[in-house]
Amino acid sequence: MDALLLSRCVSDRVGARNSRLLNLLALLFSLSYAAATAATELTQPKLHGYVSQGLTLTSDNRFFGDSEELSWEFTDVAVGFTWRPYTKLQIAGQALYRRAGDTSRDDVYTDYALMDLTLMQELSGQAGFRAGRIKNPYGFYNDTRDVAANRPSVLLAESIYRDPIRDVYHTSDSVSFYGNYYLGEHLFQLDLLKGTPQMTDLVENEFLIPIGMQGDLVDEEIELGRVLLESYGGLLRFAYTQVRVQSDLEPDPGTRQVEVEPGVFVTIPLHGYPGRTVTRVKLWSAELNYEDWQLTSEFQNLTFHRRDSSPRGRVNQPTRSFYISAAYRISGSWQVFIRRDIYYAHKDDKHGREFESATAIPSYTQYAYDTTLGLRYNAGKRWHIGVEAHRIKGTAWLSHNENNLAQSEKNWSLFVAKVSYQF
Amino acid sequence: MIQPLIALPDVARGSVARSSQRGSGVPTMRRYLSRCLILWLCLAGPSMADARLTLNPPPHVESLSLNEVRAIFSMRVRAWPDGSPITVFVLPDDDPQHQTFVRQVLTLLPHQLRRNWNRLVYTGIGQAPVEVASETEMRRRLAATPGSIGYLNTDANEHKGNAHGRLVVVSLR
Repeated sequence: MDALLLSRCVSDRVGARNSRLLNLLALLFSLSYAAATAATELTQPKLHGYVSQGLTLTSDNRFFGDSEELSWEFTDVAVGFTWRPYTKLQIAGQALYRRAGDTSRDDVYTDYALMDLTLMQELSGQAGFRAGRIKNPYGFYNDTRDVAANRPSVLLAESIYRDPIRDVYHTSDSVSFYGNYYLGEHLFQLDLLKGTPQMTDLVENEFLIPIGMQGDLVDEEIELGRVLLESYGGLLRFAYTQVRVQSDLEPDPGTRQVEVEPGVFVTIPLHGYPGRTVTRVKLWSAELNYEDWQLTSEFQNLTFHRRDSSPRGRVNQPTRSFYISAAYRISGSWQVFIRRDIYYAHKDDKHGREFESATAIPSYTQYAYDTTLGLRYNAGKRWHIGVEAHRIKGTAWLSHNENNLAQSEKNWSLFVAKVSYQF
Repeated sequence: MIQPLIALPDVARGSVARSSQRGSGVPTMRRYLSRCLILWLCLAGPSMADARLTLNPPPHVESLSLNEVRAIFSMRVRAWPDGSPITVFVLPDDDPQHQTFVRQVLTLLPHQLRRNWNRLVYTGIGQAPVEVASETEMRRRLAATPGSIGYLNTDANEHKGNAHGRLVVVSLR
């Protein structure tokens, strides 16, 4: 009986190989058949989502709300679907409500909404095309930063995955090409993306407050490429991400008079000159997954190139970010982790001394050293609880919307806890 | 004739030895696989599915490479070489049989596989496999779903042998 079945299928396969037209017709027919009849397991839309509630407590400075008193303004609720009407086509979307102090919109918005079309589909490699609002494949963690099960910690390394500006890097209305290819023990993955990032008023503030300007950032563009190599079944993972983000500043109207010599006045814009900022990111990522250990490190070189028509209209600000973390699974449910995370707002002025002498703003607003200890508990695949304690020197990645950094406290502590349920 | 296969060693039913499996290397794994491979592929289904079979013949796959099996269970590939859709069935994450299958056959870590599925689902670029509650359900669903793939312990199969007539064991090459 089994042998008969097998041989029949062999001839079927040979026949199909010999007649691509027949195959195509069969495919078309089966596609319309699938569309016309009741949905099967694969073609039924599937719902998913998560609910998370966290709290933050700081010794000084504000992180996600009034954290010096204990803030509960750390909430995510997401509901989404994936629908695969045809094998080659997937349509998916997710609505997100997110609250994170004054760094989030505190609103419901479209987290992603995309179509994914498979162009090439073989067991050894796949390639395809996506269009819509897409989560940017930035480093190891950006696209899954809201998924509790995929993070070793509650907060990702702020030096790279900085929460106050997450919206502009998290998703983009874009088109992207992706490919996977297996070669021996190695899996190569490529993502290329081009589109428009999500700029919000809050993120604008985060960029404009530190450079003393007011206005609108317009005509944003993002181009992103990532190559990812997974070897030996994920034992080793390496990635390189390169990003270019561009935006133009339209300053708010208004001028003021400046006396350059006795009796000589010039008129200059009140809120800065129109100009363009190009942000270039190079991000290297490496991870080792060995049994119950996970060692992760990422290094980022992010440089702002600002150009405008002012007398000092060419400014480059190269930042540096680096973290290394180790996570250990004590059992199937418990995991501990430790991380050291370093950020310099300007690589040539790491300790902010030149900045302080030029602006009278404290030097410690130009760097941040963060040591984090954390504990997670996973109850099955649905419930995740994480707690972590940060000891931080410097305030460079704190939110300008939430803090007046000139009056921030240099040495501070942050405690975060979060409960998540996913379905 | 296809003989029922020894799917999993007894150790799989109890505690899973976690430390020694990962680093054991490919040759050891291959030896293991040659003895007790447990991939099942559904070739036919009930009458409704038979109709489908004529339209879009399920693939005849006698063997798969390790990377191909990884691609399938990582949900990166959606269709067989003939274009028919792949349905992947898995047992729950904490099921010892699932743990053993992922660690020894796929040579991946179960929590890494779950992270891959999460990435696909929560970023909208793919789907997770169909999770079945028990091996009995796995066998029933495999038999009823053309083009599906899963894993079975043949001990149980011997006791309820009807379904395996529809299933094919795939060997790893």
